[in-house]
Amino acid sequence: MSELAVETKDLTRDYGRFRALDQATLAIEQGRVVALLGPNGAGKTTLLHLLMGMLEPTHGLARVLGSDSRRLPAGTVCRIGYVGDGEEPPSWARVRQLMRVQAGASGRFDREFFQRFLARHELKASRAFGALSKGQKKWVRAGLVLAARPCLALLDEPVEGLDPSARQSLYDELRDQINETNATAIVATHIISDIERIADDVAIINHGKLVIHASLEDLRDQVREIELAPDEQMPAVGDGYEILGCKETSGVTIAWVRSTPDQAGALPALLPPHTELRTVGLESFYLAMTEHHNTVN
Amino acid sequence: MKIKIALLTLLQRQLLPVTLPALPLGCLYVLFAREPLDCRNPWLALFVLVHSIALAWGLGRSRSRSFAFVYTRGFSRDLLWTHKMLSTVLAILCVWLPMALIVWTPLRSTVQDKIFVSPYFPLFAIKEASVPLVWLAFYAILLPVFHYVWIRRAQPTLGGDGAALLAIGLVIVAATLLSFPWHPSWFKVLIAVASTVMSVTALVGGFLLHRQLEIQR
Repeated sequence: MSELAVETKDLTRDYGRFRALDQATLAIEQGRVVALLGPNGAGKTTLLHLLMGMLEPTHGLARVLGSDSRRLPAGTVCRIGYVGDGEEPPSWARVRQLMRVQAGASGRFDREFFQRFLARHELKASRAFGALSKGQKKWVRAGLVLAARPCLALLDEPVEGLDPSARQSLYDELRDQINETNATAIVATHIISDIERIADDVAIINHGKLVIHASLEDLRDQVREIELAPDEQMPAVGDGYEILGCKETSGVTIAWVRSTPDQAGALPALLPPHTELRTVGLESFYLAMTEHHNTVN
Repeated sequence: MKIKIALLTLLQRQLLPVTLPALPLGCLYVLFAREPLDCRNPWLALFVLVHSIALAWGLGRSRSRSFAFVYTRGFSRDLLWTHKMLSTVLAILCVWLPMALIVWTPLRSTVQDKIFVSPYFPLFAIKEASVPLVWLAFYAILLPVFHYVWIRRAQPTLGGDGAALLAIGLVIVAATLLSFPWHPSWFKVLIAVASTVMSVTALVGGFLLHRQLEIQR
């Protein structure tokens, strides 16, 4: 097993009486791209802020690249790349100046890569950040992080506002770098179809709780979407199976069931005849976990 | 710890809206003020106070987008604190040094003597020479405290206004009492000790609290 890039235990954060993140426990190995999914206000950004050391946990702890997130030492913090939703360089700062600032922070900053990156996206280093379009700003911020060659990239909605081809291109660059450097990336996003192409793992947060953290490969192998015939009820499936979510529309019940690897093949026999069994895509799985998860609890 | 020139430049540029108006304002006042300058001058005390608040505010808007940007580049907290303090010192020097040079060189004396035909000059030029050091002392008392205050205010559950009021109060009391000729000789020592303790405490307290500063957007 690889070393852990991120490890949290009962990580909790309150804002006054509101609990934004509730006892999140997860372990992320190095070299993984994790899609961090959840509805608005679910706690994704809070989790990233806690990992970045921007917030203090109310309870629990997080270890990032081996260090306590509450006191990230200089040698660790310079190996974390962050693109957030709420931070932005001053509008008067020139792209060149931002490059110098980032290079000052990250010892591994690759200036040549950044200059090539700018040229590839037709961006000029002499331009003020405020004069760039929304998409160009996203590119510059992403470029700064990629050129810093981080061991851990925390990306909060990095492709929001980009057109589909730009989104694909940015994620491809990220995936290439992860493959090349064995870095880890946690990408919080709402655009599931894009991240599904490059993610290894998925972590879903809903109402502050980490609902699931699993590899996409396991999900594809172990989770099935079951559509029962009209007016059929979901039968008890027994040990080794977990009903993740369930919904009923116009008399038709759809359920999502996770089985242990050795029992996956036995599932059809447990279900009534005329039941449709499908593998799940990340998007429908996400909907099952966020919209219909509570119905089975 | 290495000095990061690019970060320092960024922070200095951030303070430009404070430095740009403060520099001509301070210099013009020092050049053209008709009365001899001393530590009782309320306008210069007010100038130092407002300038100090503006500098602490300029570097301490912890809920601004650019603040969060700087804090998420990968710099350690201690390095950021050091550069903020260094940046503050440079910003003060940008304003204070030209003002002091106007007093220390014959510039003010000549303007007062030749243009305004002031009866005090050039005699008072020597008496005024120590006054810029008093401004510097005011900065040294106030700025660590104001920096401490913004760090405390950035915490969700803490306040720090009492420290600011204490620092302002100390400066006012010290300046007022020192201006009376009958103050006892030990009073200066007492004020100096109290100011140094307060300034150093705020500086160390700010440094430690800055390590757990929350960046919320």
